[in-house]
Amino acid sequence: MKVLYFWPLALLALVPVIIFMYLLKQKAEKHEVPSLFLWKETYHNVEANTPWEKLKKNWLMILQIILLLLLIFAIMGPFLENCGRSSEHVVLVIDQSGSMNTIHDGEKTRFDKAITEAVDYVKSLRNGTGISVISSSDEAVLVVSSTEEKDEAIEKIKQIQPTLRAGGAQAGVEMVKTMQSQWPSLTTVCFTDSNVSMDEVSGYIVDVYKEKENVGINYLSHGNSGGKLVVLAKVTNYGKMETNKEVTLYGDDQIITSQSVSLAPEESKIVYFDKVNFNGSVLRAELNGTDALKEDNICYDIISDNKQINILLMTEKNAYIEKALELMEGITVTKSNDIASFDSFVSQKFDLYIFDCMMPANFPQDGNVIIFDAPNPNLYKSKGVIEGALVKAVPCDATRYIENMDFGAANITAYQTPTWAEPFLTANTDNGDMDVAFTGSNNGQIITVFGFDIHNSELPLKMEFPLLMYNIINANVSTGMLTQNVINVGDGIQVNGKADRILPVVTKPDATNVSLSDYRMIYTDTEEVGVYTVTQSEDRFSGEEEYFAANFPSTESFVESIPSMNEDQNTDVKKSASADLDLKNLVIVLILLLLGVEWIAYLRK
Amino acid sequence: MEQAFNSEFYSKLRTLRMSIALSNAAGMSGGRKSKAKGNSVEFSDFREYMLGDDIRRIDWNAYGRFDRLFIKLFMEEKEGLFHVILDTSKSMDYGEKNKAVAAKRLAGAISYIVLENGDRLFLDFMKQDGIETHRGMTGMQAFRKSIELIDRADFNGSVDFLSSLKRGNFKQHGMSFFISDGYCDNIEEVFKYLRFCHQEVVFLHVLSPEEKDPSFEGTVQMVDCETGADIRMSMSGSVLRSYKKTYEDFIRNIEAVCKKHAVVYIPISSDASVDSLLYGSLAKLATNN
Repeated sequence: MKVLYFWPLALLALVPVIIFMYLLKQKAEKHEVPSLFLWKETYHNVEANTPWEKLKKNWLMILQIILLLLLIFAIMGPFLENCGRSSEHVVLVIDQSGSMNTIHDGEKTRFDKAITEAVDYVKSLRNGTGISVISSSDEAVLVVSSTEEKDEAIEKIKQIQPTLRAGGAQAGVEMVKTMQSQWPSLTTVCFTDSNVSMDEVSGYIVDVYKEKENVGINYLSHGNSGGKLVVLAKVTNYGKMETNKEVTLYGDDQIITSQSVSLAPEESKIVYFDKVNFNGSVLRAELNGTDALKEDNICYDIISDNKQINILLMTEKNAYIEKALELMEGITVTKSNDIASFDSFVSQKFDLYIFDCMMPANFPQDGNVIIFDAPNPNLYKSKGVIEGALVKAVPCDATRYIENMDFGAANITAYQTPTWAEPFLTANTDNGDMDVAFTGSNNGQIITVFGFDIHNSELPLKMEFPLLMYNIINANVSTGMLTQNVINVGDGIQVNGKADRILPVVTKPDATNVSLSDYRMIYTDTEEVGVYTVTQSEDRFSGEEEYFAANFPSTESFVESIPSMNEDQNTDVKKSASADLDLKNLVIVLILLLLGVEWIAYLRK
Repeated sequence: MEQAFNSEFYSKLRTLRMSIALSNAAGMSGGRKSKAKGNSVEFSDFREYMLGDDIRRIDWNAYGRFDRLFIKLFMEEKEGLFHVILDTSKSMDYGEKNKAVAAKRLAGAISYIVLENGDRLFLDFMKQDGIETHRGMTGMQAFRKSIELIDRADFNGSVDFLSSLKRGNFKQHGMSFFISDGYCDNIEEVFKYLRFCHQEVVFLHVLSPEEKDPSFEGTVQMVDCETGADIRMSMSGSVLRSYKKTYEDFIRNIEAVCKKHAVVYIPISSDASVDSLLYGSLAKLATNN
C-alpha cells in the first residue's frame, strides 16, 4: 500500500490537541459522600479514574483520535498497488497536441505526466492483456497494435514525442471506434488535457490538465503605410493574474523595436509597431520571460513579394487553353469573349492577356500578351497563310523538354519573326520552314504569338501540349513557389517548384535540408516552429529562395474545454490512470461507521 | 436535619410492645426470668445436697421423708442489660432522608422497649475519640433522659469502631444493638469483640437510598465527609454498575459475617417511615430471637 501525499501527517499535531481538550474537560463536580469505602473498591474495579488512567480507557477520546488518524490517512490518498484490470484489451490514447507542452509540475509538462501515467498504467495491467497505443493530435497514429508484451508497449509509449500541432485526443478516440468491433471488451484510457467525447467508447479520461499562467502571441501580421511597415501582434493573457510583458520585434534576427503591454487576466491586446523600417523577409515577435508554455511566446510573419497572378483570357470558347491554365498554381483567370469591352478590362491591369482568335482595338501597354491566330500589323508581319502543314518545335526555352514534338495544323499564318522575338514553332512547307509561332520581349512586354487556331491543329492532342503551355505561361508570368507564407505547425504547404529547374529543397529551422520528391507537392514536415526556406536552383550554384513560417497554433495556447467539464455520465474522468485500488473511499466509509459508533457510545454514556 | 423524635414517633411508640428475648441476663435482680437458677421465690427443681451448698436451702421436709439431704432450686429473676451502640461518625449524617435521624429513631425505640420491659439500658455513643457511655438507666422514668441523650448526639468525625468499643464497658452478659452504616474494614473484628464480651449482637445496618443507588453524572470529585480524602471518577454506566456490584458485595459480606458470628442483621433504609422502622425492622428483632 502507498499514499499519494505525506503533508497530511502534519495534522497529527491535532492528536495532542484532542487529548488536551479531554484533559480540560476533566473539570469535576465536587460531591460529598459518607465514605469512600465503597467507591475505592469501585475505583479499583474499573481502574479508570485518575485523569491519565481515564485517558487510557476513555473510549470516546480514543475513538476520536482513531477518527482523526483515519481522516489524515484518507487525505494522504492511500491506495493499493497493482490491483490489475480485467479487460482483455486496452487502448491508450495519448494526446500529443501542442497544449500538452504546457508545464504541469516543476519541469515536467502535461505530456510528460501523460507518459508517466500511461507507463504506470501499462505496468499495472495483468499479464496477457492486449495493449494498443494511439498517439493523437490533429491526426491519430496507431503506435502499438494489440501487443501482450508490456515492455514493448512501454518502450513504444516512451518513444512518443509531443508535437506542436493543433488537435487533441479526439482523433485517437475516433480511431478507437473503428477498433471496437475487433475487441469486444475494449477499455479506452485517454491521457489528455482537453475534453474528449467518448460516446460509444468504453473507458475513461485521465486528466493531466493543470491550470498555469500563460501568455501567448496569437498572430503577427504586417501591412504597408507610406513605404514603411506597420506590424501588429495580438497578445493574450490566458492566466488568472495580471501581467506585464515586453513584446520584441525582430527583423531577420535583428532587434527592430519592442513594446511593453499590460494584460489583465484573460485579456487580449493588439500591439502595434508603426513605421517599421525593414526591408528583409522574416519578422518575429517574441515575449520576454517564461511561462507555462514557451512555444507560443514566439510568432513569425513573412514579408513576401509574391502576388496572385491575374490572367485575362479573351476567347469565344477554348477549353484547351482553359485546361492548360488550370494546371498553373497561383493564378486567377478572368474569361471574356467581349473584345469590344476590352478597354474596361485593361484598367484592372492584368499580368497576362491571352487573345484567342481576336484582337482588341487598343493593344494593352502593360502586362504580357499571348496571341492565338490574330493579326497585329503594328507588331508583327504576316508572310501568308499555309493551308496545312506539319509544325515542328524549334529548340528554345519555350520548347524545353519537347524539342522533338511535331503536329499537323491547318490554316496556319506564317510570320516574319520580329527582331525582338525568336520562333519556337515552324511549319514545314514547300518553301522551307516558316515561322508560325514566336515569343520575345518588345520593350519589356513579352509577346507570344501562335499563327494558328489550336482548334485547327493536333497540338492539344499532343501529350506535350500542357508542357508547352506551361513553359510559355511561365515565361510570361512569374508565380512564386509558395502560395502562402504563414502556416500553423503541422499544416501542409503547397510548394510549386518550376519544372524547368532542379527539385526544390526545403531548409527547416534546424538547418536540415529536405529535397522534395516532386516539383509540385504538399510539404508536410512542418513540426518545428520557425522559418522554413524553400530553394529551387537553376543549377547547383544559384537559385530562387522563398520563405514560409510555421507558428504555434493559437488554439493550443489555451484549453477551452478541459476534461473536468465532461458532462457525459458514462465517461469517468480521473486524475490518475493507475490500476491501483483507491482506498480513500473505503477509509471515509470507515470514518462514517466509527462516527456512528461514537454517537451510540456517547448516547449510552 | 429532620427532627428525629417528633409527635408521630411518640404516638407510634406508645403502641409498641415488644419482648426481647435474652438468653442469659447478667444484671442486677430484676423482672426478667433468667435461665440461671437463683434466689427467687419461684420454685424450679430439687437437687441432692452437695458439699458447699447453702445449708439454708436444705429442704428438711424432704429429709424427713427420704432421709437424704435435698436442696430446693428456685428460678433466679434478673434484669437484662441492653447496650444501644450508636455510630456517631460523620458518615451517618448523610442522605436526603438522613441516616442519623433513622439511627436516632431506632435507638429511641429500642430504649423504649428496653426500659418498658424493666431492663437496664446502656447508651454507648461511638465517637472519634472513644466512646460516650450513659449507663444504668432503668424504668420508664429514664426514658425521657435517654431520648434527650440520643437527640443530643452529634454526628461528627471519623470513628474507629473497634478501638471505641474497647474503651466501653461490656463486661456483663447482655445484648448490644449496634446501629451503624458499617463503613469499616474490620467489622468482623467488631462483632468478634462484642461476642467475646458475652454480648448478643443485633446489627442495625442503616444506609441511605443515595448510597444504594447513586445518581452521579459526569466527572465527579467525591470527598469523604469524614476524612476529607477525595477521589475523582468519571461516572460512566460501567462505573455505576461496578459500584452497585461493590455495594451488593458489601451487604452480602456483612450478612455473611453476621451469620458467622451469630449476629442478628437487620438492614435499615434511612428513608423508611416511622411505622416501617418500628413495626417492620424492629419486629424482625423479636422474630429473629
